[in-house]
Amino acid sequence: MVITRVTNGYRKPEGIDEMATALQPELKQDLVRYGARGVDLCFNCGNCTAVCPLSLDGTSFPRKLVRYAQLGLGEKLATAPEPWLCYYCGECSATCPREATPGETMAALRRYAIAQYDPSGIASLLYRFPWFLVAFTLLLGVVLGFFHLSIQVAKHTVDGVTFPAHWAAFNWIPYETIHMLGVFVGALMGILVLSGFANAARLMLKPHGGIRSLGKHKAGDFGQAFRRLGRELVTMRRQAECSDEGEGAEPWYLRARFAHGTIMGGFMLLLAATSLDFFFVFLLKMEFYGIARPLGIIGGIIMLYGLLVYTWKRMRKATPNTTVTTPADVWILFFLIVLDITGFALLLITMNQWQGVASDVILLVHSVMAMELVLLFSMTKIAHALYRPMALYFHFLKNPETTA
Amino acid sequence: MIAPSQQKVDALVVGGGIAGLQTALDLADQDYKVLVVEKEASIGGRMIALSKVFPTLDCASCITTPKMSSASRHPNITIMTDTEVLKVTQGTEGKPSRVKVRKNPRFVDLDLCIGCSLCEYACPVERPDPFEWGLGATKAISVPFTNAIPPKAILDPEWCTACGACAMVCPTDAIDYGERAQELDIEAGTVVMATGFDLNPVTVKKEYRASESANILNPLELERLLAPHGPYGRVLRPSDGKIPDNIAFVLCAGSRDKSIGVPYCSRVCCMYSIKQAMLLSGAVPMAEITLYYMDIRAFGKGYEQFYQNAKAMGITFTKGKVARIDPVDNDNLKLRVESLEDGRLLENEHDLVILAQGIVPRADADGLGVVLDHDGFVKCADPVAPTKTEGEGIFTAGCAAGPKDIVDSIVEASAAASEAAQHLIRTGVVPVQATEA
Repeated sequence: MVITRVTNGYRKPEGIDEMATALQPELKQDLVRYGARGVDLCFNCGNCTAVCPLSLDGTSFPRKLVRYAQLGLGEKLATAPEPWLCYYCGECSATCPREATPGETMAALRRYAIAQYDPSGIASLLYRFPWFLVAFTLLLGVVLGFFHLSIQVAKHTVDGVTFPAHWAAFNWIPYETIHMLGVFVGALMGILVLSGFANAARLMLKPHGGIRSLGKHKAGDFGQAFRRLGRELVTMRRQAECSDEGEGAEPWYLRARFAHGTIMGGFMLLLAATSLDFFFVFLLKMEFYGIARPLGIIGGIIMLYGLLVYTWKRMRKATPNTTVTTPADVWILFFLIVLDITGFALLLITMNQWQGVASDVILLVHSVMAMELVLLFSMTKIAHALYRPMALYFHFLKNPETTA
Repeated sequence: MIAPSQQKVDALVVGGGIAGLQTALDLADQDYKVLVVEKEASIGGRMIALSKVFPTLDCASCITTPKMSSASRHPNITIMTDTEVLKVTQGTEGKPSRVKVRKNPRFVDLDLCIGCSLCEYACPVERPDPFEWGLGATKAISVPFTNAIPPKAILDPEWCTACGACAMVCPTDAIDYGERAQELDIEAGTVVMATGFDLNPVTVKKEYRASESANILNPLELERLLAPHGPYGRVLRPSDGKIPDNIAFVLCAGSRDKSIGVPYCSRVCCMYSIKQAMLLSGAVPMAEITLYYMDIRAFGKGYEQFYQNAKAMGITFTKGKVARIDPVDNDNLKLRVESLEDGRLLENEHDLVILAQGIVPRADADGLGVVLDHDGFVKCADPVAPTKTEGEGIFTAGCAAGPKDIVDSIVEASAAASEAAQHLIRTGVVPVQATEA
């Protein structure tokens, strides 16, 4: 049910502007599935907004968004960039007089936003139904695995050993198979990412008057916002203001900003290693691993560190931002950790030229999971890498003088 | 004033505040022998330290002092000050309850002391005055406050240097440095728990950083500043003695907040804050006064009008819970709050901040043998007889049973006296005619 209502000059209730506003009474129940369980507890005192060091006059959160959720203003939530401006330190939840977990609501609203940006509708199912997340992941794994295993391999020679023609199952899966499937998966991911990105931009610009509102800015503003975004992505300076980062918090090597930095940095190094590998080995047909391999090893190690810190924190549940772990959180940690460990196993396998069923299974698992991760890039938690920078860019563009 | 030689009374009232005194007076007027046990050196409780009461702005001590005086002179009432209750054991099947108490040493013989204050003048040691919440000073031996009952000296062994100066000047040789605590078992036909309340400490919400600033006051400290005989004789802010000109009241600072363990509304903070804001606008007429509130709960008789009057007087009411208080230059304080009327995020600077701390049960009310509720107040056994506790013959009144204002405390005290008297009649305790005045 959607109630459309036009305000005719009466004093406007909060969150309702001049346009007709669609109220979705069922939205609150829907948000519970995304993980926003405390919305009903909120009595709108504003403590969360005022305690948040990142909340600013004019760009304030989380209370405003909790209010939108209470009122069923789905469009307001789908177009709000604020969920992405929060790094979830959990101070709002820790100090909430009603224990309404506003920080968890913000996390749920990020999931909700990803689902709204995703044109395929799959993301919305992934977040709302844990069984769907598991079933879809398994199904996708079976499909990708089927392609890996069902392709017949011609007679070929590897390192002087000649193999007869065989089915790819239970023997070394040829590089070409993985590569071709990888290109296909990459192309599909490109379509999903681009459409999600375009959707997100359209939605986030909506409250300001759509894409035309960009015309109000001076040419220099775009570059300035871009520079600030670049600096923010590398240093995550805004996160340093969060309460879990300062004095009296955990030691620096256990803090979220550092752990996130190692995961992001490791991811970047692995991306660089893969690109170099693609360039030297696949394009130039050179057996040159001198740069790519050390980069990959370093990337894998530091990424594993961050992943283990995150996992340990979530298991310890000592802070408000780690007490609730959703299936989507488990999914991303599980995938990255398994990929990281199987990646190292594959390194050992290739360096020692081990052959056999075990090696093949490891390669299969690594390859299939990597493809799933790439395919679902714009739908899973990792999509924050797309949407957070976008929201930050619009935030910097809209607030040119602020430093935060 | 005298410790009872007989260790048997009809009714024992724990607490000599306004609720306890009202209960004692009501029972004593029905010719029951009542013992009031008070932990502090004087009866009067919290109310005697207040400046004025809402919504009438009547003088608080003008209401309390006559009650204190009546109780202390009533032929059927015995008052034991400096006495703590250790354990209450309920009497079943009509038997009296047993109450174990400890009379703490005062180091001054109350029979001999005439309250002349010569000891106080002679004493060389100054200490923070507990009655003034440490905002003023008093001597190590002193009469607790000007209208204390009994109006007699007490020596604080924490500060006393045993120099002997007081003993030398005392005209009645009342000072006894060797006095020891004494435990007594008292049989009481009925017991009324009127143990009162504590304030939730201002340090309970760490985001307010109250321990870092002298200019963050609790409401009872402000009551002392507002009282005509208060520590400064006028309203000054503690850090530097400046006349404050931009004062903030932070409501719900120690209640209605699950994160600090006090989820309930403490009922009186809205009204006492409005009252204090009104009194401040008289005491410092040039000051800007802002109340930060979540909801104003003006539910009693005349309270809503009182609130409207405060608004009409020019006191600013800003809706929103203050989330942070940070000390800034000049000992001022910066408050961060989201204004819920327009959604703006405010960072307002004030030079004096009063945290309207909520009422919490007295920490020492626990373990006395009375069943407590989940929130720590005395549990009421019967919803239609709110002064009855789980214990047979044990009743409760005032803030011991839950947060309430003075009017409600007095009403409840009379109700408890009535219930207690009924219990005495049922168990065959006959009121005795007063034989001497």
